Amino acid sequence: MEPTSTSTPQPPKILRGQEIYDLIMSQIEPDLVSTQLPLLAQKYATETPEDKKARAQRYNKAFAEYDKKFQEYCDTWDADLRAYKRQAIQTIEKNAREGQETDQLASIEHSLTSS
Amino acid sequence: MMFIPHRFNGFPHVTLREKREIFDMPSPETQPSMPPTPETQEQINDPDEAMKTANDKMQNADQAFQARAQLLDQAEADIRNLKTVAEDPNAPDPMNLEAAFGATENTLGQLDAETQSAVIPPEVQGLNMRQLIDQVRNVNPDAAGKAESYVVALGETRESLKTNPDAAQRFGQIENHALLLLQKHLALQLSPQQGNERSQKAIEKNVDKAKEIASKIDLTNMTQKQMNRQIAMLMMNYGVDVVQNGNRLEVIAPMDSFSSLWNRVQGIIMLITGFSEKETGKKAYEGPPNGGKPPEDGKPPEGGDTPPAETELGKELNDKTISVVRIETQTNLDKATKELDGDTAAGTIGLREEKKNLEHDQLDKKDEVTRLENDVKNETDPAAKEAKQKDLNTAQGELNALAEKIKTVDSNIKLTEETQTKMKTKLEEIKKLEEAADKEKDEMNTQLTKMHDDLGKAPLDANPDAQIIRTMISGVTAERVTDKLQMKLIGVDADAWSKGIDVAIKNGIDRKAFDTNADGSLASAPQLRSALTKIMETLSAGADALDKGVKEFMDKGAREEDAKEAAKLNADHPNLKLDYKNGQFVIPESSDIEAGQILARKYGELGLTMKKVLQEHINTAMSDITSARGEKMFRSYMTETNPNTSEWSDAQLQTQMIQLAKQGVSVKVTVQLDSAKADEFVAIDKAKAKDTDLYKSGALKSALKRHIDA
Repeated sequence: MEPTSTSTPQPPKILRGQEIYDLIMSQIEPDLVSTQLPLLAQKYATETPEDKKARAQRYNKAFAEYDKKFQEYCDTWDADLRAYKRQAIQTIEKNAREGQETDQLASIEHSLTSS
Repeated sequence: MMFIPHRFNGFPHVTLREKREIFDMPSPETQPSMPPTPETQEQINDPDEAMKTANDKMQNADQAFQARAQLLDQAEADIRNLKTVAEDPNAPDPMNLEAAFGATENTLGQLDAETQSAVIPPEVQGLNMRQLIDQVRNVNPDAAGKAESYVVALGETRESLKTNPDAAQRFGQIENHALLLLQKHLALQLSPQQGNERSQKAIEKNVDKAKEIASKIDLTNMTQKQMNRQIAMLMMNYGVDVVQNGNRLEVIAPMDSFSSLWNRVQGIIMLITGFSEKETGKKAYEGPPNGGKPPEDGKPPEGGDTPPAETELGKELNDKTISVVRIETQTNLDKATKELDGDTAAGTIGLREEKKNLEHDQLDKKDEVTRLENDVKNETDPAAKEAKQKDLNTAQGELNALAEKIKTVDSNIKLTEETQTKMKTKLEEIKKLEEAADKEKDEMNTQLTKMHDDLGKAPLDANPDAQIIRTMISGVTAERVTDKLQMKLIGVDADAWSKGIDVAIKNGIDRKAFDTNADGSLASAPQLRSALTKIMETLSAGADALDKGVKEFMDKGAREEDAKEAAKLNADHPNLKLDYKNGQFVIPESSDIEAGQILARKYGELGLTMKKVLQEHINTAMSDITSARGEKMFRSYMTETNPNTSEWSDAQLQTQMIQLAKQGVSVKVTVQLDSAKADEFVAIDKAKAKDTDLYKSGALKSALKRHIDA
């Protein structure tokens, strides 16, 4: 009899800095996503000084919001790592115990059939 | 120290400390290796700068997650190791949990007996485990460190048993019991005499016994598991240190009563969990590296481990109080009573009656068999003889069946007798529990009586707020509620209670402390009572000081109304040192600036007499400008700043006056008066200043000008 095995939980993913930045910033200010940054000069070529000033303020707000969201992202990741470790060890323990019980049952079955 | 491989649910070679590291990863707030929160970047003025800021942020994110990638690698390595050892077919079998629990309960019972007469100081009873340990740290840092490890080890064991609900439930009971014992032992640390007397007797007796048993143990043919069990049993039952010496176990006397307890606990944990390293607990927390002093600036001590209270588990355990154990005591009582009822129903009366009847039947049947044997013997007719022989065979069969039945009943009687012995033990247990509960209740009532007596001695008219709190506390009374002692709110009218809450909150108690349970009892009664008593004592003490101050002022000739106001000012501001001399209130030179600030802030609230005092003080301040001290400071200021004063306007002059005030000249009083609402130095508003007649009079301005001209 094969022991019942519980699948091991998955660890949190590690993304590159640019991926994390784009992931967060795409929900805040599309202009500031890494692929858009090189295109901004051309996009706003005819912008008036007033509009430019307003855009700078908008970007400042977006960066501040990014900082907040980034911290939240880090906190969530840290919590996920802790949960992953706990769940992993509990799963291993459970599987180990079930394995022992299975071995014991197999031993009993064997002694019954051979008597 | 020997190394003994150990096992928990199939995990040999995984130390308690390793498991703790896995379970108790620091929270993000305390995680030292995590990158810090990114600081807010400098504001961009031009959108073209966005590229640079964005790149910085990507780089920051990269760094932050490189560090996290290392943590993840470490975690996965830990998990892989665990998995490897869990699947090791050569690992020893886990210890029998049932046997371990049984042995543990017996040991806890022994420990109970050892500490039965221990007196827990009343002030310790309301403390949670963390507070208790902190108190012990001042007396015995080593014991405090061990206690922390003890709490963590118990918590870890509980955590580890989560996947085995039955064992977890059973362990929960043991854990509560063990925590009570720990509290008792910690309390003994606070009463060294009690602790020393106990340690002498207990250690000597236990070590001799343990040595005797250890001398009979031969490790030659023992498996690792068997040896671990022997060590655990010796530690648990006798509180001794045990080390392996060849094929023998060597018993070493513990250093003190707390070490003895510690060894017992280690033994218990070894038995229950299969963790076999005695040193696991000692490794888990080596004690604070700075001699038991609390770490400075809230930082964890360097070296050693972070104190376990920092972990989520530690926090959870911190919330455990003695009341938790009271519930457990009652649960045991209920359990014992229930078992007793069951055992009584299975008494021996019916069985003995049944045996008597069977024996009677057996005698009759024996007579019948004897008679039939004679009949068969004497019968000459073959057919009749055969028939009688058949009857004889039947009777003999019945006789044999009766003998079997009697044997079974005998066995049942024996079993029931054992049950009766168990009943007797349970009765004794119940008796002890009831005595303990009564003692607990008596102690609580004694405390309450003392508290009421103390309240009765307090001066009734000392302070109205104290009076309100006193009325409030006097209604908080202990009562036995279902399964534990609780404080219940009885006999206080709603108005008094409501006023009391207002006063208590004003004095720093959180409103939540007054939340009540569904049965009307206060959710956190012991702590609340303690806090309220403290407030009342403080208020009463303050009122006494106030009365004394009023009396002193009146003795010096002040009117009662003025004396009360002045005494209150002094009570509220100990640095003010307001005095009454030659028929008027005065502020001593040593406290003039401080006093001026206080009075200036209070100007609007003051009575007429005190306003006059303040005005007097302003006059003093003005004269200070010409005094030696003021002049010295003024000159110093002028030398340092070297202003061109000849072209100063009034506004500039006023600004410089403020600067002077900042240098500490008594002008500060004036400035503060004018800007009392803002509570800091600001430009003088002439419109406000005129109310004081200060600038209108021009006296100060003249005084300053004199110096400037000079």
